[in-house]
Amino acid sequence: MSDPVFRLSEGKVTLGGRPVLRGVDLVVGPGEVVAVLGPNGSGKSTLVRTLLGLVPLASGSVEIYGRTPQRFRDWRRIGYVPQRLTAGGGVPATVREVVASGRIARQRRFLPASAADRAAVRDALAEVELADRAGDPVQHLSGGQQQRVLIARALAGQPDTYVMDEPTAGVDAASQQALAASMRRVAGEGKTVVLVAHELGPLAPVITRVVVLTDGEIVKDGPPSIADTSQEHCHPHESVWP
Amino acid sequence: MAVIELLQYDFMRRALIAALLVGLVAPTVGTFIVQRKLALLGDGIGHVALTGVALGFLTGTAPVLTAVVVAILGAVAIEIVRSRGRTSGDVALALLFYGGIAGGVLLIGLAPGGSNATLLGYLFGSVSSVSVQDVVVVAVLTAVVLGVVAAFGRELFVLCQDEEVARTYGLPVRFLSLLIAVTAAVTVVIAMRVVGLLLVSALMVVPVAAGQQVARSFRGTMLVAMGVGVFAAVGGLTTAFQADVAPGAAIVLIALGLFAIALVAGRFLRRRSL
Ligand SMILES: Nc1ncnc2c1ncn2[C@@H]1O[C@H](COP(=O)(O)OP(=O)(O)OP(=O)(O)O)[C@@H](O)[C@H]1O
Ligand SMILES: [Mg+2]
Repeated sequence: MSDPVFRLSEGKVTLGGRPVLRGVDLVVGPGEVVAVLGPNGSGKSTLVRTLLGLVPLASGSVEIYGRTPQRFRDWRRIGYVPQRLTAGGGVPATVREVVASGRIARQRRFLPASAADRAAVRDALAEVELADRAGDPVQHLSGGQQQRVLIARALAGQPDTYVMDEPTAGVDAASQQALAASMRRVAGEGKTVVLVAHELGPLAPVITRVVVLTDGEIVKDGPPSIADTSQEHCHPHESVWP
Repeated sequence: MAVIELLQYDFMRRALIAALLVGLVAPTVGTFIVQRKLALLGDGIGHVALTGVALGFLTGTAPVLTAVVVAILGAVAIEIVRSRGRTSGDVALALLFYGGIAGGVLLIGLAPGGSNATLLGYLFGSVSSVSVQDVVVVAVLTAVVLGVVAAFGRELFVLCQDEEVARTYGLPVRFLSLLIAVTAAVTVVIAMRVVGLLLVSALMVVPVAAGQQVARSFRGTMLVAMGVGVFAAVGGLTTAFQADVAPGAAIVLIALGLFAIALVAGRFLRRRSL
């Protein structure tokens, strides 16, 4: 019963012939709120994608709730927020369509959206303050707003574990505060969060653990206070957004 | 002259039904394909299907049947190459284009009494020679394709938005990718008789491009595309009959005309909403 949410053991990942993760050990327990910090290209995205089984391991192993990604079935427990919205072939999709797709792991084939589906979508849109844009194509939104759409999609799925790749990238101060409030709420409900960030900012009080990645290796792993002494751009009290 | 008057001809009735179904189904599948950035998939499959047609003549089997089989094999091959991501996707498509045409021309030469002229009806469509049996086949295949979209539409939408995210919802990404490819292959063969293999892809892509200009949602794009497809197919066929021009070409040109109108209308709509 008490399987960790993620267990990565000696994870090595090679992309395009280059080692990107060089033997990473990471165990994330239920209820933890983990921030993954590190410079550009240090392998943060690769690490969280590896945890989800999206990147093949060159060696080592990964488990989600005690099972390998291939054998894991309970995907409704996972909510992934990718680093950016993919544009695809440019067929428009409304904010509501994208957020509603976050319910897919909970829906049954042929059955229309249930009242619970609709309520979850409505709440998620309200939580990221995009309810008034629900009918707009996501392509018409700014980068920061699109990021909030992706967060809302994960919220709509009501997962037990959130994996967020730079959810605060390009998001203004007010929205970062709103995201921090959402994270405080889900953490209060005992949910697990693994998020990639460049700085903790308003999220700092919610974070329970910081993992610092440099060049594909975990160089620091501990309470949020360790972020203070790490590299400049991981400094939690300093805004360095371009 | 109204469509009604044309309905007194048996062959025209059959042709109109076939055109209507193709106009409906091609853009439906096309919406997913365009979002997956596989707009040229239909062309690739169309070229491969030509080999299938020739194989039918060579072996004395119904060409539509062999075309379906070969088109599905081709679509699966394209999907495998795409998902492996080793060879770049457009090079893989190009290889299939050439192989498909060359194979078709070679095989038809070997078929008893076959010549390149035999292939022309398939390359450019021959909707006026559609038999009752053809219409039944088209109707059944159309029902299959629309059934797939109804059953898997939600999953296909997620897949086409972001394959990695689809995986984190536990969706069977490989199965769904093959499903799209196979559905596209079936659609190509359905549309083959109406617009011809060379123009099949146009009917899958142009109505979607028109929908993209005016719609705000994915569902809206698909509905507009279906409307454009049906209008172009029926309108093109009627025009072709009256003006005595090639139906496939007329259908595609009307679709392109509707795209141009949608382009202007889209500009206008956006300016007003600002
Ligand atoms: N598909 C790929 N093929 C080859 N190399 C890749 C691929 N994806 C990532 N890399 C390389 O792996 C390294 C780590 O990439 P990753 O995206 O994990 O970094 P990151 O820490 O998330 O960076 P950022 O802060 O810019 O998001 C980079 O050097 C990148 O060039
Ligand atoms: Mg990254």
